[in-house]
Amino acid sequence: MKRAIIVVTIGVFPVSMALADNYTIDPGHTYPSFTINHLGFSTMAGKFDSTTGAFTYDPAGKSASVEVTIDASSIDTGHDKRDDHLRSPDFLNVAEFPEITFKSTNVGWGGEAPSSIDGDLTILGVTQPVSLAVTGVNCGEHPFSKKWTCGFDANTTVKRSDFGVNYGLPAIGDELTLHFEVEGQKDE
Amino acid sequence: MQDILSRPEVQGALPFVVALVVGLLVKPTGAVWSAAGMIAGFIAGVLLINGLQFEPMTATRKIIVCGVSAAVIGAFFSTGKKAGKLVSLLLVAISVAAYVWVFWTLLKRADGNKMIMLVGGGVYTFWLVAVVHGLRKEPLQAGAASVALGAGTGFAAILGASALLGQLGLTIASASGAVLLLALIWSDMRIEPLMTFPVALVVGLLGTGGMVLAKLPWIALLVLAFVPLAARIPLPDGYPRILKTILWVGAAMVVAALAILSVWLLMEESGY
Repeated sequence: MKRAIIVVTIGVFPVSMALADNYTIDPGHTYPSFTINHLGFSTMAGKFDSTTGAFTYDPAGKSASVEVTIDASSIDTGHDKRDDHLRSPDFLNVAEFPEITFKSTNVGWGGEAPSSIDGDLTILGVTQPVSLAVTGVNCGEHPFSKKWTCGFDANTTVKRSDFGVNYGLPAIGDELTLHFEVEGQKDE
Repeated sequence: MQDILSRPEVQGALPFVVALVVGLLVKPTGAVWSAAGMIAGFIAGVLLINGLQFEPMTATRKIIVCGVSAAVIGAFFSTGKKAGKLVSLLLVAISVAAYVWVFWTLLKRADGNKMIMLVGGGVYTFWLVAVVHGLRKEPLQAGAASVALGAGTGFAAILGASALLGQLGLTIASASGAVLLLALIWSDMRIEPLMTFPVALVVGLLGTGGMVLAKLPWIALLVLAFVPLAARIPLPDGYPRILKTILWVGAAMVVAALAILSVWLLMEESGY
């Protein structure tokens, strides 16, 4: 009996892994964004205009993974001068740390769809574990390209000081809420 | 307490006070050691601005490490009789090593304009090290050059690059101001490479950092390169020390102000 279970486990597991489809992130519909408190007055928003990456998704086998690389210099808050400052050593130091990366380590499932993504977020060369709450996963044939497409929204809150981004604390908020709107098309 | 220490006026004044107190305390141990007050003031400023956090080891944090290390090297070359030109060459050689270490992350992937900026920043840094070293036997002129280089780099960086780099420049200006005051009071005080080397190296690296890590216009560095020359203006021997100091500081500060003005004019409105 034990042997049978082992055989079944070994047999099924690779199959479910093999069924996971690979998706390439569509940079035109993937915009990591953030919100942060500004001097206690308001919540300021910004986004990154250039993101690449890939994910795998297999709802039947309940397996998924995601890797995202953000071009830190593509930060866009709608104000050129402020964006220059955010790129400077005071904040993201993009000349030395051109990329912000996220790599999943575990995906939690709530029913048929992922509900959380645990992973390593790297900012300024500092890697911290974070957990993203997944708020929606949708798949279907793209109406224009006719390619199989999946997308999801996820968000988390981190402390920028944990990554060594300390400038302006505490006047400029420490808590940084990150939103990931990700869309990718299945690799052919 | 933290609120008080984070106030700009406190961060600006503390390096001056620390440099003055340390300079006064160590003077009896030898005329050369009062310049160590500048290093103490710089370290006090760094602790307020950066704390003791050195991870990740960014270029800015490497500049801080270079500043303290340069003070130790400068102290070695400040004692005993050593050949001036040989020391100058050695200090420039050490500066080259420090420069490569600080900007290695950028150097290894730089191309085109970035490489030109890095080479230009190197020339600027090595020029400052060599020329400010030439002022080591002239405490008032070395002090004037240090104050103006620190202030010029600091304000230019705040306007055109990064507040962090700017604060470090102003820390140099503040601490150097205290040493200049002591040099004005004590005519036997010596500055030597103990102060000239770390000041020139740090200011050079900060200016280059502002240019390659942010958007400090290169023209600002070109103008700042003339600050030590302004502090070398020959004055009649008969002038009182206080008048000489005012004139040297004034000349150096005019050049520094031109650098700041150039950044002001080239940068768009900065408020946001």
